[in-house]
Amino acid sequence: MGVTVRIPTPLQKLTKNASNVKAEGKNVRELFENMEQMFPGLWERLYDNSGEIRRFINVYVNDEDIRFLNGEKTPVKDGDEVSIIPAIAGGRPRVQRAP
Amino acid sequence: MSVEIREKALLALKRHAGRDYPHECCGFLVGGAGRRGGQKRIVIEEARPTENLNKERAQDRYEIDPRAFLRLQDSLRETGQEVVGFYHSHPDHPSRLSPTDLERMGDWEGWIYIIVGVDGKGGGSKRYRVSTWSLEEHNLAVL
Repeated sequence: MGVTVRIPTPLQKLTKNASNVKAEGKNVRELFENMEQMFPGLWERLYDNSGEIRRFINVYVNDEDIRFLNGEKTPVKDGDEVSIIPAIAGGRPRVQRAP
Repeated sequence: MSVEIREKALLALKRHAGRDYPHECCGFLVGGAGRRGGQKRIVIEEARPTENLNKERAQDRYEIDPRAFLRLQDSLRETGQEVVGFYHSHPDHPSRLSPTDLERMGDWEGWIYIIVGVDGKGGGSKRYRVSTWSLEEHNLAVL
């Protein structure tokens, strides 16, 4: 059955335009390793050079942010849904406050 | 690539920008992506406001709640529509991408970003300038 991973639009060109991918693994890291085998190049979009999930990427298992669970070691099981969500933020140049 | 927006969606995001002034507002662009004449075509049907999570620096920062993104994605299942991008405002600042916007966009190619510059200084009614970006600026056609 596997775990369904939801792929954000900007990464779908790496997953042959699929917005949902089935992957195998006992935890989030294993899932992403399995996905890298299926879709080479995905790993480096998710992980930085030090081997950590990129700062501006949120990963949810079902409805929970893995930062508040067990990070990439968060266990997953058949039927779970994992969502990869880039953090969307920004803003105008800093407003200067009067001294 | 062509980017088009329904007039009511454009009005809605301007209204949101005016309502939240002098703070930055943010929200989702909902619509569909297809092709026309061999060219990618994005049609924005709706602007969906969401809360700016950055309360400390709301006058010059915005952050979209990833849970709101998840909820919206869920609600759009089976509708044929999707999140095609995001919008935010720049209070008293032009509607071009700032260094912070660019840094945070990274190379997330594929989404559309609309920025609403709101000029609210000097009293009277606010003035709005809208621009549309992905990794480059796009003309925005109003439907």
